[in-house]
Amino acid sequence: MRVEGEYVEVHRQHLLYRITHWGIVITGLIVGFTGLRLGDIWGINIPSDYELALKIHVYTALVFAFFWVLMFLQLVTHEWKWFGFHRFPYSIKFLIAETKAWLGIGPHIEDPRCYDPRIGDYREKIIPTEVMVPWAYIALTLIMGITGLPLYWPEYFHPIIAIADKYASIFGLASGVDLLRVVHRLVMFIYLMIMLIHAYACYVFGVIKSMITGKRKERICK
Amino acid sequence: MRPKFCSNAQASIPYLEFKKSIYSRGLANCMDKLKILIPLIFLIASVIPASATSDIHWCAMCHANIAKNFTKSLHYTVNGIINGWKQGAGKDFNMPPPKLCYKCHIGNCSRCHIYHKFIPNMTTCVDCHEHNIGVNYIGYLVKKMKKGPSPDIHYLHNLTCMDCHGKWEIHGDGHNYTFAWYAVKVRCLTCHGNESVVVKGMKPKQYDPNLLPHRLHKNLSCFVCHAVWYQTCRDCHLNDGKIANITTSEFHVLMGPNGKLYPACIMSVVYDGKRSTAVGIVMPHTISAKARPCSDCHSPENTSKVFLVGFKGHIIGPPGTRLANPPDRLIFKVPILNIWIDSEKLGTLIIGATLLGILVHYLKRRITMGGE
Repeated sequence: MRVEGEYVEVHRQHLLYRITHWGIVITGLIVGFTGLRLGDIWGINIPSDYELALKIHVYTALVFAFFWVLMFLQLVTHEWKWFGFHRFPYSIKFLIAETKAWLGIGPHIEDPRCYDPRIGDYREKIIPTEVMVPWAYIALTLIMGITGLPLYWPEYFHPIIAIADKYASIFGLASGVDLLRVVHRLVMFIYLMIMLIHAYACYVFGVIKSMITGKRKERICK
Repeated sequence: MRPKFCSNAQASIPYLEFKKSIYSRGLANCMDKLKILIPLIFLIASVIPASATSDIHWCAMCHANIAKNFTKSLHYTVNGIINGWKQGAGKDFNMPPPKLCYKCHIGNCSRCHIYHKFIPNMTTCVDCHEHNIGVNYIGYLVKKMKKGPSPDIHYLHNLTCMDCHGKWEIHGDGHNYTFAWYAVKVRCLTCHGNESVVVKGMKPKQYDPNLLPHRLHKNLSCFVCHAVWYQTCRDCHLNDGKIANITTSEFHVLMGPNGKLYPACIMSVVYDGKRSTAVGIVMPHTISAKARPCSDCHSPENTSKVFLVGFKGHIIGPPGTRLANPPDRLIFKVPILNIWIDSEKLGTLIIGATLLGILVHYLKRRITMGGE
């Protein structure tokens, strides 16, 4: 721990957490890109071999899911204090206040993150809105899995298709498979939306470097 | 009809009863005459073309059931062609089917059974079934004296029409079908989904449901991928019977009444300068073990063409035949509001709005905080 004026450099992210995070990023990008190719979205046609694209998509998605399981376990065992569900109301209040501030109808809230050298831990480790981010990701990953697996292995996941079949007509679709594909695709877009906002927020809040080196200069709590 | 060579005692009874009676009576009355006439009749029957001596009613005397069914079969009624005409060009030109269509009507057994006990061969069938079936089956193009991309794999294994198609399909099964869709009963799985089947000493390769493309395309008929090409005749001029263009590069799909996709052929007909365009399901007999490449459907440049996006012509075929949604265009209805939304457009809107929001935030931040 190195103190520099009001700041102190601390170990913010441990190695496994960082590996898991970047594993998710890399596999997520591969899954996303091949998914866009499979759906012929935005003219993406790489790899041109559809079957190859599909295999890469499905098997990389399984690795992606594995990383998310790892992330979930770490969140629950090591980061629950910061990412627990009990912090949702606090997170939402912060989001509303910051939105108002951005629109010029309220004051900005000071960055609450700070480290207390006396107790050797953070008083606040994350930007409050960050609380909801991993849970949103996990929920969306679950939906992607539930809708994606029956598309590739219909014989093993046919009960899901049977359920979807019941609701397909409500959405004017011919079959449950079509409904699963629509949900899979729309959730993918929402996933991509959160990824873009997440990446930009990491840039704005200056945490990208700490996710690589594990260290960050944190403000000392007053 | 009664044989005139017998005595008056037989004159009023139908032929079949007479046939029984001549055996039960020990041929007492006619035997002498028959001894002379039977070889003569068979000699004449085998020399003179049957068309000159027989018709359905004559054949019905021995093959009553077949003849009765046949008069309801599509070969006899040509309902498939007539109904197709009515759904397509007939509507646009407001006219009955041209005479040309009726050349497929088979009103006489002898059209196929050239003489008694003659089993029709492939040539007999191909005389009429040339488009997408017979000529393409052996790897040639109709109306062109040249080879097509490939013959049907069944042809390479020496199979002829009757190895797959049963007599009941050709003679009819007593139902007055409206389209060949209903009349043809043989399925690929009849052989390729039954390990006990042996055809001409060969055991057909069995369908593997676990193969990846099979798993992914349960709503596709085998024809979509395994009929690797077919012939499309563009602009058939009804006035002179000439065809403007013949191509093998077209490939489209339609959804059949059973919810599965089938290959489809666009048919454009020109009459008195007017054009009528229709599309109908076809079952090309150009099967290959190696299926079409995925990109035939799954590529931005092909998908819209294959799935006939924006097609304005008629859809012909049995009720329930319809255009299918392309795999990349998932359009769904919002319940209650009854608004149709293209999932790709909605997604693009979401991502576009997000990127715009980020850009605005970034610029505002640069302006207010000077990039801090």
